[in-house]
Amino acid sequence: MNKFIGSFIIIFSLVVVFLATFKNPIEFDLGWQLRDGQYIVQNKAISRENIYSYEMPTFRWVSDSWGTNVIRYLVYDNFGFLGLTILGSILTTLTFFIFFRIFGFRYWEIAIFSILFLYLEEAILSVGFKGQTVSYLLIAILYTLLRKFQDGRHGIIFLTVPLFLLWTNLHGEFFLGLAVFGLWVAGYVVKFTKLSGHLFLILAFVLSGLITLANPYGVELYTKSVLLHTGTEFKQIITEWYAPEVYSTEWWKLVGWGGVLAGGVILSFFQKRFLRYLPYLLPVVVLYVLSFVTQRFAWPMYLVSIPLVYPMLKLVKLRSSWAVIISFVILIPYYLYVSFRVLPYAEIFSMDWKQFCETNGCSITANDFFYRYIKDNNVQPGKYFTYFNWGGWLIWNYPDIKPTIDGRMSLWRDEKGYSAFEKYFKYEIGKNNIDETEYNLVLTQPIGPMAQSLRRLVAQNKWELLYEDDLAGVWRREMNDK
Amino acid sequence: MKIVLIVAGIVLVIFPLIYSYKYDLDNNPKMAAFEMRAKVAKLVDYKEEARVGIIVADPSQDKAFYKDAKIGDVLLLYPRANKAILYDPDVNRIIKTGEYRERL
Repeated sequence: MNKFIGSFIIIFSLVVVFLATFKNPIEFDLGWQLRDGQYIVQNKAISRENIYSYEMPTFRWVSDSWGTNVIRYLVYDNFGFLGLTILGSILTTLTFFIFFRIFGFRYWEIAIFSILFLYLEEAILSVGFKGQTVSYLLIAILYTLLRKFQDGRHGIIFLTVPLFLLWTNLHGEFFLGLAVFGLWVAGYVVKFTKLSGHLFLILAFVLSGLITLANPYGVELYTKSVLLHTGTEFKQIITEWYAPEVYSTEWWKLVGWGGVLAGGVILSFFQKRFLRYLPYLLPVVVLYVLSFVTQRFAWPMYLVSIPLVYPMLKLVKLRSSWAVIISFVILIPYYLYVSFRVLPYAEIFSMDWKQFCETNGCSITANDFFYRYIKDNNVQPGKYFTYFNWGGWLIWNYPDIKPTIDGRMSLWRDEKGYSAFEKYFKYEIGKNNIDETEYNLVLTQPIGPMAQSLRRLVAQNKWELLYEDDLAGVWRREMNDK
Repeated sequence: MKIVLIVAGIVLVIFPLIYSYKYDLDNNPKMAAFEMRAKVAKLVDYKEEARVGIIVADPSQDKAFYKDAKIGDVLLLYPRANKAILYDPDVNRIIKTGEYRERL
């Protein structure tokens, strides 16, 4: 009976994770990601030049998540937004489950840590399915292989090679996986084990690294994607690349978790198991430090630090009756809260592009107005200007017009040093004057430096406000002015 | 035992989702629009997501586009196709088709 209740608590924990991560996909970039997936499916080829937006049309871009974009498109095309919601939930639930199982968490530990990790990973889980969802599952699979290797099944480590072959073609964060793998290897080889084990491990790591070149872009995946993400340019304006603000919730989460991990490491010394945990410690230390610089590193850090919690959990001895009671006391209220206070109001079953637009602070009415104006007046690309964050939405919803710029382009810079985003951003922050450009039509937010600049131009009778609501405005240059 | 656990897990997942769906259906006006759009999509051939617009409350207004409308009819807009459609949900029929800007 106890085994049954234990198994039920594990199932119940996974149900809670599934329901708590049942979120609409609301990431800005969804529009261009779907269009990219659609292009690949329909043309059986990847797109190299920028065919989705106006700026930098000949720039040879790298779609470092082309495989995920194909999956994303196929799921959306067949099952709509709900399909993406279900996919995101399944992948996240699997990720949690794999991590907890491979490190031997007991049923009541799974109950507690499921809720804890939903809290720690809240920022990434709140936007529904995204590329990282896939990468985190692959990290869980990588850790499964590493754990089995550590337990003496040395041959299994070569499964990392097909894993990275898949990863490099699915999502750009394969590089993070490779870095974590490399740090794990470094932590493992410092302690004395059989030489054959070392050779297997190092060979598997080298082969895994080499196999990442087996992608449609070859080495360009590194030079035009991975390396760009290691730079600091424009990171201050992309939300998930921000450093967490000191004393913010995310910052306190990091500090608190750091305390938990420190406790785990100290205990591993006393338990004389420090060397066993060392391979897991190195990736955590590196990601933990990086998390204070760039908050997106915190999300994988929480996952890969799961093994370090284990020494602390080993200290806790609970009578099974108490373990069951604690599990249910934690799970039942959370289940009821998610089921009856969150999901009914999440508008999951009525999710559409209008809701997507509103969630991302754009106005579908303004966008429709803008689109019809362009079509009716035959406004050419290069003569109109669109807001950066709405680029993806425009790409998917109006495939016959191109937005000025979209979410892929913040890190693009061509051989001549030209960056469309740099040019764009100077208008958005009011550093450059939109009136001294070729643009005759602007779709942007009704607030901010650019809107203020446009309102001044309206007051000077140089521009005209065609449409405005709470979220967006459409301005046109007075035609007798230029 | 495994079967019991699997069934329990499925029930625990399905029940809140059904409840949420029913709640959406009963309380969220967008849900009605969502379902209506799916019905109209079978009657037209526009490859885009319709904007479900206003429900006609006063067909006597002087705009010609609403001449044949009755209370409860719905306006759907297709910006890319440049079409506006008046739809009667009672009989699942399109009453009038016009240009997008005609509804203004």
